[in-house]
Amino acid sequence: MMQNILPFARAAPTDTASAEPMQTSPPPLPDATPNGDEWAALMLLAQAGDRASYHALLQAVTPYLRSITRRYLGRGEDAEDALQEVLMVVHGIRHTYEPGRPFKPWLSTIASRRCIDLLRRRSHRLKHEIDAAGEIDSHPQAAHGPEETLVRRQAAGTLHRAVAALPERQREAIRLLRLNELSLAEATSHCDQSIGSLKVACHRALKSLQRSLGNKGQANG
Amino acid sequence: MKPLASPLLRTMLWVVLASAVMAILIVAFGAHPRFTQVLANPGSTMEWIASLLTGVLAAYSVFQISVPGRSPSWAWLPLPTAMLWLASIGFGCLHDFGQLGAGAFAFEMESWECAGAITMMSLPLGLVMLVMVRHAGVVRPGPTALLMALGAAAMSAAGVSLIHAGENALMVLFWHAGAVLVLSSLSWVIGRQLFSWIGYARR
Repeated sequence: MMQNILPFARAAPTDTASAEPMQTSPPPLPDATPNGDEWAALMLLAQAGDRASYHALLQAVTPYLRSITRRYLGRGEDAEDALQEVLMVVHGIRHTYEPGRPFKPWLSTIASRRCIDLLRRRSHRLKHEIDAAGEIDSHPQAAHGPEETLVRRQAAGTLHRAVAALPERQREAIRLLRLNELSLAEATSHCDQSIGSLKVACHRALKSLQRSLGNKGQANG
Repeated sequence: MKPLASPLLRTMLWVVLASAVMAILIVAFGAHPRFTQVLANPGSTMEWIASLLTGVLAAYSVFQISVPGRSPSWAWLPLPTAMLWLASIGFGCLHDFGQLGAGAFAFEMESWECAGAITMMSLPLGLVMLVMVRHAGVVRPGPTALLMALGAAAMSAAGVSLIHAGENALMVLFWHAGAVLVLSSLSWVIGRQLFSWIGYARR
């Protein structure tokens, strides 16, 4: 249903360097104040069941929401994934917009809170991954010689960094389907992605890993 | 799709429901015969009204802070009445001590029934509120859950006082205020899970 409702296209992520979340002070949001009343009017029509107005509203707010998600998550795929999520949430709780109240604070609160949730989850996951990597490093297998242990450790570290660099949804798909070896049905119950999304994310992740590890291999070789 | 009703209207709806639950309690168990005597004491009256007001104001703040774009400062709304409630129980402790001496601080284990009754009454009130603000996970799941439990438990404490009275003020502090504190803290901790179960909050 959402495909019919959400009319926007995903923006192509920019180059790898700019895909990193911004560490310096975020750029100011574009001032969409002149559109605030117009958006509110469209939302009122949408709440009354006017699908064309809803379509127009979502198209109009998408750049504004994208600027918020990029402000929190940088210009990579994470920001685009967050944008999709924010639009889904907006769709799900559009009845909570109260007629007569300013529209922009309603919209920006939803977007900001969603981005903060994503950042929180990302930091939890990274912490677990770092802890897990630490545990692996502190238990070298006795059966291997020191050279082989070193090679294995380096390979594990390379793979770990490559997985950590993946966009969030791809990382989640790899972790559930490949590292935890869950079935697609099991994996969907552990995350908020559908079977189709998981398949696509896993496929993309494997391609990315192949590309990045292949490049590293060539560089090392 | 019908827009959300105003916080005031939803608070009134919830208060009507809470009153109905209280009425059912009174019909089922009977009002405590000494409750009118208790209300003759200004300190006890203030304690009961403060508890009731804490419940109503906490509910109102829930319906405010759970809506995206509304100020989170509404979360502080029930604080003055909650402090007044605690202060009036504290005053009751001193009053009991003046009348009964050290006996005023006797621990009555059987009063645990109050905490149990408050918890049991809080459950339906809290669940109804949870359904009414199931979208809150998007905005502020923790504070919303805390205030939901505070509202339901404070209202329940006022309701339980109608059918159960007579314990010393220290036991009211321990079992009534204690139950409210425990339920609120627990809800705050599990708020995100609670809303991710029913709505949009992320785990």
